Amino acid sequence: MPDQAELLPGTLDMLILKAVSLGPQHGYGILLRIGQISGNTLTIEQGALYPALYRLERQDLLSTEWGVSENNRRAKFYQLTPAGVKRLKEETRSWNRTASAVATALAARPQEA
Amino acid sequence: MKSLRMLAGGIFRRSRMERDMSEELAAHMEHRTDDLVRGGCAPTEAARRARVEFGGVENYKESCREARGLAWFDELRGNLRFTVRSLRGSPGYALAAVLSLAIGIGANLCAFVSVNSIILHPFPFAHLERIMLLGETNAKAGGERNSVAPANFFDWKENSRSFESLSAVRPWDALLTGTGEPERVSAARVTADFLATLATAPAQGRGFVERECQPGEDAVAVVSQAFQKSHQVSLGQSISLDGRAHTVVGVMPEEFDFPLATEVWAPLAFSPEGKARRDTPELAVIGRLKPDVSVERARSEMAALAGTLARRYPQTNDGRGVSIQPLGQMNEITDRFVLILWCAAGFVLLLACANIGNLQLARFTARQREMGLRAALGASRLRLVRQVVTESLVISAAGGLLGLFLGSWELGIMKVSIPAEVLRWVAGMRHLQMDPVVLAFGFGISVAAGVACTLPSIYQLLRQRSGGGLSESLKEAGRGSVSSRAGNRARTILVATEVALALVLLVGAGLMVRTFERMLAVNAGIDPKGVLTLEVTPSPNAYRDGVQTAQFYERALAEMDTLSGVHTAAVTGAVGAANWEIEGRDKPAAGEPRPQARAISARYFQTMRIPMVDGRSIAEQDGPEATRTVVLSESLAHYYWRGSSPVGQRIRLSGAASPWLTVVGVCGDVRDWFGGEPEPMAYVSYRQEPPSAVRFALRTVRDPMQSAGAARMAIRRVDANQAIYNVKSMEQVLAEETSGVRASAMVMSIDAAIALFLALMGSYSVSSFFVAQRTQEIGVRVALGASPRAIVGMVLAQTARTSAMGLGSGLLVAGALTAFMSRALYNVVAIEPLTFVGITAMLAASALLAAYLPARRAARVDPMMALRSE
Repeated sequence: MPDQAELLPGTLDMLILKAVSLGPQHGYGILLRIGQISGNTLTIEQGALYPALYRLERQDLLSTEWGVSENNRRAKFYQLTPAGVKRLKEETRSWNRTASAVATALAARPQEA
Repeated sequence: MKSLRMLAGGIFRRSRMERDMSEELAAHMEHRTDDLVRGGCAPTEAARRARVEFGGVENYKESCREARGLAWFDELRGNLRFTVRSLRGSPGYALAAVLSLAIGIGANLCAFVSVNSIILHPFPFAHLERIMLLGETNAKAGGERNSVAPANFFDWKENSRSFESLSAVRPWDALLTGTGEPERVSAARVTADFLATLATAPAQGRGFVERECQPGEDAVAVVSQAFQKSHQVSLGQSISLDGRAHTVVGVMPEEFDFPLATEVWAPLAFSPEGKARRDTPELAVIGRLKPDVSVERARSEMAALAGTLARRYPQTNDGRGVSIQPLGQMNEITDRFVLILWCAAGFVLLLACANIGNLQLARFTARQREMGLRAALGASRLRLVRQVVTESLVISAAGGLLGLFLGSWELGIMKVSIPAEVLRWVAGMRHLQMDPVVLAFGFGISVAAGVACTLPSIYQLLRQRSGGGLSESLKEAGRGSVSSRAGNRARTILVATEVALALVLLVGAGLMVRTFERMLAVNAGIDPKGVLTLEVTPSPNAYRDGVQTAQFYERALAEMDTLSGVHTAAVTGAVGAANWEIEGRDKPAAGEPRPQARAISARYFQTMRIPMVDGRSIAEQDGPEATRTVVLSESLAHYYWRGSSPVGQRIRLSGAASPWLTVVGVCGDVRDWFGGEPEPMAYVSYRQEPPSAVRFALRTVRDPMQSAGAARMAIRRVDANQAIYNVKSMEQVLAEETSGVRASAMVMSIDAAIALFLALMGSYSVSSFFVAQRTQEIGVRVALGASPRAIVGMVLAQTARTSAMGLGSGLLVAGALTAFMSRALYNVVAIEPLTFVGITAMLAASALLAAYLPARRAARVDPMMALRSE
């Protein structure tokens, strides 16, 4: 397995929204997709996903529907609501800002201080 | 609202969501298993690994529920289940707690019913706060409030800008004939806009119109619903009032009761001369303020108006002002009694809460191990608090429900025991009932009480340091060691508070009882036993002048004197006394006593057993032609003559308009039943100053009521067309007058008894707890040779310290209360120091007695058992 990165607090919701934004998905699929799009560097404890999903659903950022998975099993599919789309955009913007600021800060050299 | 709907939805959807959740998590594991199998794993091994990788399913489910937002509901269910189980485990505690809360809440509900109907809603009028009662004040006569002269009323009505409408009412004792026996009805003559001012419409028919307020047009009447029922009248029918037929044009709604106890209303019509009079105060005036006008503004406007009138008509209006008072605040004294009883009930509830708080604290301490265990298993401290509160709310809900029954029952008893007269004369008293406002209040105090009871336990819970404290308690609790200091301090404070509250209530009850006793005693001015009274108001149509009226009384007295079983008969009635002065002296200053005047017959003092102090009584010789005479009461004579005899001096009762009267005697004081102060009185002869309404008094040989029929007949023989009313024994009259205070004293005494009981229970339980907690220590002491006496002493000393704290603070509050009560209710006696000491000693002794039982148990502790008890 490649190097595992610790998940920063507060980023799980963002990752879920991102994963779902690529197309409706059930819980296990979301988990796999997060692994996929992060190049398998970010792993989430499987059970911990669900409280997050329920929380996002309660905030009306995700909607759900029962359907049939590619394995031909009954599964609950999650999908972004318009509010979810908006939230993802905001989160992405603010993450990028923070990340670049942190990166700049960390790249600072002694003579510039 | 939204959260309510969610809750309802949550309850119904709950099972479906649970199913969904289980299915979803299962699907996840199945997908994982599929993947593992595809990766080459054996199916059973794959399923096992999928489960392991997933983690604790139940744990995540719980987090999901919490995330979904219904966790609190599940917790509540859990808490409730737990509460029921734990209360079932200690039925004694549950019963004691529910009962004491029920008593406290019941007493409060009952007290609040009175507050609600007597203080908050004395009259059923819309915007009661804008309805004012107006009167004329007279600076020359000590600033007393008075009725209003017609011309002044019409000037007010025309010129004032503060009122939407101003209406006049003239009380009228009407003689109703033609419906069987002649009868006196309480009636009122009112201006046409009277009902508009009160924002009330008749239930049937109509009110009066302006045209009917003219002499000759005014023979119409509106009747009360009660009158309509009892006399079977319908609209359009006519009734005879004071010998004149009035057509009934309307019926008032059942709850309409203004002026209090009025049965018939008729238009107030003035002749042009009557309308112009400024020297005859005869009207009560009510007004409805405009919505944006304050009472203060109305007062200043009316004061300016009165000033204008005084300058224009100095002869009649000099020194006259206007008093304005909200109609809803007229029962000042009754209101204060009601409020004080409410406070007493509040104290009882506080005491009950303190007691339950104490019991809870003891239980809580005993359960510290359990609480510690739950905390160790991951229950947050807040969750433990919620558990404690839930348990307490369950108890207070049960207490509230039971309290509602107790309160209704108490209210039923109270309503039955209120004498009819009081019911008639105290606004709002007729409508005592449990209404939604009262129920809401009951709900509120139940919840508040439930929460209040938990405060000591929560205090202790929060005092324990986080985590460590609770696990500490795991090790410590149950070992019988001296437990946390915080708990002990809370307990001591609680019991001290209970003792203090009980002391305050006992002193309050003592005050009321002493006041009531004194009220009965002060009437020693007369001897009510064996006296029968009957009232008559001769119709002015039949008796046009004073001479005829006096003759009617004289003949009725002569008839009564012939009755067997009657010792003496007398007659008395109030006569006007507006401006008292003594010949050759300055007019009395404001604040000096001014007598009320009564006209009496020769044997009045003898009949009432009022002693003569000086000179002679009013006698047969004081006829209409003889010198005008007067008898003064002792305190009045003493004030103005300071020990020398006033006999032979001359006085006037109503200024220059009245004749000089020669003082012929001084009689004993009669005290006002309520104030308890001697009433300054001047007695004149009824034949020289015939009153328009009288009360006959007969001293009988046997039970006065046995002579009632004969006395009635005696008056009938003189004139069968006059109404005879209020036929009662004097004792009954006095009992009715003192009934309010008697009821207050009774309620206070019951409250105090409950308080005493609760405080003793508190003292007992704390001392028991103290003993149980220190069994081990006591065992050691006994083993080391402490005598049983020393052990008992040790336990009692603890109680004594606590009680002393309570008594100390209680005495301070009680002292303040006494001062307040004698100021607020001017008739309440200051309690003697001896009574204070007695109550304190009694309370201290009973607290020690309650602690004695556990102390004796402590003394019998077997050291071996105690040491082994761990």
